[in-house]
Amino acid sequence: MKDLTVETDNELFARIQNHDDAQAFRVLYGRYKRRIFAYCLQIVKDEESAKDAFQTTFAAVYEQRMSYTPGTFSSWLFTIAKRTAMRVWTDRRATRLPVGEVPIDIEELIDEHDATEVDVYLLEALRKAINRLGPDYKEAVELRYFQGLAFEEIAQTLGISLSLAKVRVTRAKQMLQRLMNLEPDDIS
Amino acid sequence: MKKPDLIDELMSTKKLNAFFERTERSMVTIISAHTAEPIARRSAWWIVGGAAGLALIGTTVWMTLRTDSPVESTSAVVVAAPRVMESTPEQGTSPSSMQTLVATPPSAATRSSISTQRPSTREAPTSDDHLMIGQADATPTIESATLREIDSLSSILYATQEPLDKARLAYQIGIRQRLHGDVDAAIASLTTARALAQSSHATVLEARSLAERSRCEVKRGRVLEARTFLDDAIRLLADKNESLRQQWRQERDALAH
Repeated sequence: MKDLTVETDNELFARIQNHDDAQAFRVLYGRYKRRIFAYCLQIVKDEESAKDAFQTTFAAVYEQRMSYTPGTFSSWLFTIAKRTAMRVWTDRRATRLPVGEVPIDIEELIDEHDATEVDVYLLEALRKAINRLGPDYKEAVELRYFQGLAFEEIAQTLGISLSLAKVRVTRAKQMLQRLMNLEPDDIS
Repeated sequence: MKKPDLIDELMSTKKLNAFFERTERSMVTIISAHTAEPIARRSAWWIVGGAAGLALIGTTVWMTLRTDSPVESTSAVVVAAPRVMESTPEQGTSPSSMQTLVATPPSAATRSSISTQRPSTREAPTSDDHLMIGQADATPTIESATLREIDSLSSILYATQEPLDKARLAYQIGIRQRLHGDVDAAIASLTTARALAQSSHATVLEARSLAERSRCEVKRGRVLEARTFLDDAIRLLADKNESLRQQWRQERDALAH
């Protein structure tokens, strides 16, 4: 059986378009699920609404599969996610008002972020969250995720024990999850 | 060594991973149902084509062997052909009706099948609905996008097994139906959402469903009922989520004026 994980986004999506290939969908979904969720979360700001936007996005991707012409798949996907999340966000805003309808200017909201910028908006949100961390945690995150150092190397660089290096990274991640409106797992 | 991806790691809580898996299963169910339909349709066409071929061969042999007048022979072919063609709709419709039972791809048919799943979830599509769906491909509007989202969410709802997920989806559908002006359908969805949330012990979602129901009652002009639903929602939260209770108190007070 062919290994689909080595195929490009466009090749996988062509399988979905032409053969309704569920396996190809699984691979693409696996590639993007967390990033799309994080992106929705940054727009709608709460986990439940992000789940709503996320599911609607993937349903829309499948529903609109024939409208995609090979290009940058991720741009297309993030554009759908953005429109969906904006809609969820405006719906939420509408439900918060007591009586009557709320004028929704969704196009104005969409224009706030350029559709071609893929997940630049998400990376910007992440960068802002990292900047709000204390210096020790910020440094640990930078070394781990931007320099790609192993925990042993982080410990050596910072002159701390291996276990403390791991604790800092773990705590920093939990703080970032909260800053990005996500409820972290209980501390284990 | 590949650098670890921070976003991937941040979005990997136990709860989220379970949610991603459930969504994947639902989507695969929807896609698989789509795959089954063309295969069944192709098989049906093979059967029809084969039958037509056999009929043609039989007729040709019969015509060759016969020495009667050519007029009768022609009419025999004409009679044979419709008989074969009559079987086409039967062969074609049975897979799609079966498919509607397995899962629901987003379509107008989906909405009607969902309403059979959950009693009176959505009224039969009006002519306006059809107009909106028709327009959706050409010029997307907020209205048509809302309808599409109702369809998409209904598909996922149908393919979802987890009661709490179903509750959340029914709640989301209810909100959109109300925004679309489909108040009766919204009330049915929210009633489902509330019942599922209650059985899943999801108090906040149950209270949110009640508050949303209150907004539906406002749309119907039934202010007293709307207030009662808001009171119930506030009471249900007891000492939880003060900001939500505060918001609902404001809504309730606004209804008094």
